[in-house]
Amino acid sequence: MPGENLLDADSPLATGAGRHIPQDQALNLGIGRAAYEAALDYAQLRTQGGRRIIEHQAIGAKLAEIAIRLEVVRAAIWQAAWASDHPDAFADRSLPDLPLTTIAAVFASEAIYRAAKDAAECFGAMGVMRDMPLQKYVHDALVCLHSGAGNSDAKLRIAEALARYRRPASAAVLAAE
Amino acid sequence: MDFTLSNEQRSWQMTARKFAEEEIRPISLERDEIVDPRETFDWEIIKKGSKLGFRTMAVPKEWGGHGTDFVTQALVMAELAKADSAISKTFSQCWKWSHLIAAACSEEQKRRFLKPFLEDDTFLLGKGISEPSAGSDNRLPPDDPKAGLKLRAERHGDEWILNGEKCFIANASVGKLFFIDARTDPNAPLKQGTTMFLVPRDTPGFRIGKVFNKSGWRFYQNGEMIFENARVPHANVVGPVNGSDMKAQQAGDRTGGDLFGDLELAANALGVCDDACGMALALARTKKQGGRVLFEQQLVQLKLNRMHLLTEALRSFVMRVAWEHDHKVHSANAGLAMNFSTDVIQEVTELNLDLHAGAGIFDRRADKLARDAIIWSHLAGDSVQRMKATRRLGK
Repeated sequence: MPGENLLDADSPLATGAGRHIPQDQALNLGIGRAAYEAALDYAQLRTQGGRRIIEHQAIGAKLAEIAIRLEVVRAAIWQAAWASDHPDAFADRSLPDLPLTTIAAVFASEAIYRAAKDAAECFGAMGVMRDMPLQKYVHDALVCLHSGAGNSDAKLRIAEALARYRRPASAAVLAAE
Repeated sequence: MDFTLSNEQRSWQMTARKFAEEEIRPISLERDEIVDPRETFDWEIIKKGSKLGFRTMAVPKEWGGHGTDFVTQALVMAELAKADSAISKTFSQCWKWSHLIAAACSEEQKRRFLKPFLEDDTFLLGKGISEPSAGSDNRLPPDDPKAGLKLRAERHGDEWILNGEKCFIANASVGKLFFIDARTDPNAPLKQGTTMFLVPRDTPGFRIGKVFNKSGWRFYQNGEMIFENARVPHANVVGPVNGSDMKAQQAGDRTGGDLFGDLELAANALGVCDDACGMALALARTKKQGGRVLFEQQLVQLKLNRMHLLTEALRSFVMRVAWEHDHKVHSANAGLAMNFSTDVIQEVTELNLDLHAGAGIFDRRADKLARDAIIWSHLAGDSVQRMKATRRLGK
């Protein structure tokens, strides 16, 4: 392997752990959006209790919570995406010195799993049927919760970045594998 | 309150545990993974369980059943569900309607229907309420007569002619006898215009349509029912005409709600949680990362703690509700326990899946438990089921 292929220790790729382009997170957001749009459409079509179900407090508030989660997730992903385009913004302290993509990943996966479950619930029993997409959104969102090394590991990596230390356990795992 | 089990209760629990581990668990995953929803069912397990009494245990002794109390029923449901939630539900679905037969049917109807039910290991029961445009409206009926189920029954002499359809009906494709709610007065609100009928499977004009393809509870059969001039004798009317709300009124239910169904889902969830806790603990004790077992990690300990505290809280709640049912205590607890079981089963199975995924393991059973748990959302824990339980508090 030629020496010039060695990553520069100071390059953004090597130092920017947790600051890569938030591609998987955008995908995760797409799952949430699909679930949300399906639930919003259905809530305006389905009538129970004499009204469209979106007009019931319980369903209205549920859809609002889904919308809140998606908007905040989107903002976190966009910030991480902008940050990966503008590494200098970390240097001049326009951005906090944090692994923003990892942070977006954890928040997105947790918020979107919850949103997908809530969206499926709006469909009643149809939410679990395989000829309907809702159960797939829920299951895909569940997979996102465990993508990579999972959220627990991601949180520990964020903790490392916060205090600029390296966990002895993770070093031992790396050595063993 | 004394939670000590009697010898009889303990004996049922042990029989259920042995049957669950030796007979149900070995077929659980393979049945779950069958693609065609009509093929997931297995008559052999039903016959074996029936011979041990798990199909008929809720029928009163004077009618030839086992006459078990609610505590025993909760124990058995949890033990069976620990091996397979959907198979446990298939058995307990028969108890649910055994309770109804005992409470609401006439002596003549009991003679006609309980006897064959008790004698035939493949005789399963079901009840048809849901329809494509009537789900929540049946659970919390508005006053508008147009709301709620639409299946129509009209009287012609000694017969009733039924027309319409039902959907998602449990045991539809495998049951031999169904309780069917039909509108007998379309101009009255649901509760005042509905009558309950006993409809045997071979009723002319009655057939089963598709079996629904669910993501969880794959073994459990939920099907469509189609009524095209189905002819049901007047002798099969349960209780008074236009008085189908038997569960809460004439049936003598003083427990504040559905006599059995709420407890059923909570007890079933408990079994699934026990399985998830067992899996997670076994994984944490054996799987090593970086030379140490997972159990030594703080985050793993915190997750195991959460799983067990929720499961034990659910166990206490389930046993208390079962005890209250046995003592005819009026409360909203059964509904609340059912709602709570939704939160518990979903969080506990998600944590179990999380622990396995965190260890780099895709475990098919952990995935199955999480898929089964999602079923609770619409059956036990949606906002309608929660408001229904709350309304009992408000009474």
